[in-house]
Amino acid sequence: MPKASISDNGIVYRAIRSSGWIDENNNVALAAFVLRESDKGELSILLKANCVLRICSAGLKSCWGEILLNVEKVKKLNLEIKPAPLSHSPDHAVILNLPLPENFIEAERMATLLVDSVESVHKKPEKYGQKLQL
Amino acid sequence: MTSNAGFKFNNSLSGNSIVTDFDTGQSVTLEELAHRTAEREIQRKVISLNESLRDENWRIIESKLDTLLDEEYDEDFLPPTDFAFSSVKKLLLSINNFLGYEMSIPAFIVPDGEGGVRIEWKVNNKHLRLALSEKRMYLYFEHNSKYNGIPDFNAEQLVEKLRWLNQK
Repeated sequence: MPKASISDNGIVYRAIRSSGWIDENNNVALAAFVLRESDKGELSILLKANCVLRICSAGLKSCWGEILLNVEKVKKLNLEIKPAPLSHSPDHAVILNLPLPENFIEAERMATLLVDSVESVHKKPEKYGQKLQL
Repeated sequence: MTSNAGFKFNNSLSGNSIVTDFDTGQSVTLEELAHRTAEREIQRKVISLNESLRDENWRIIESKLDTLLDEEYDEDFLPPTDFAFSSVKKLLLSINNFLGYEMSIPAFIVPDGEGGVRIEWKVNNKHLRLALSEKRMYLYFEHNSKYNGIPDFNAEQLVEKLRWLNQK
């Protein structure tokens, strides 16, 4: 399957891994943009997001929606966006050049800058609705 | 004559009458006692208000902490370990008790997906972040593009940074 293209004026999507990443006013936790050791230097994103309740484009078992990022703003931070070479999904991509977790001061600073690239947030209403009912 | 208000009349009633202040055992004028009683009442109300705010703060913080237990986790996004969860809870409880009304409610308390917990505060464009896991713990703080961090922080350093957060 051909890889989706990454347009400079486009949008990429960061999966919301924790319901707590987004507050009731759609503010985004910086946690969404700090690399973990298991990320191996690559922040996982999607080029398209067609997630529904039971099927996640990124193949994640637990996903609460997507954070929409402006590609141009991301690239202005000297970050690189590339398709994920080893992924089974053509929509899977990664943000490169983020500071590694051991350099936590720069990693946190970059998260502050990266959150300014957020265009909007798409929360899966079904999932957040379920959480409210719990 | 003994009143119910914590003092005893020593002679006739006037502003200059000498009475015993039961709280201190001192003999003072009625006027002075009235002044002291009013001050103590204010102090009691301040303490009571501080305790109410402290308890309300903790109720909100604990509720945010408990959402960590309701999250969905999988092999790629792990829940906080017992160590991380209990360490953060103990730390926040003791600091909330210490700071009282000065304690800021975190904007986010979230799992880091690798067994740790992250806490994020943002007040007046000041950022304070805490990360705690079995592998690493740190504080990060930022204001107007100036930023720094403290690895392996202690409770005193966190208190200092929480007070900094509220300084104008």
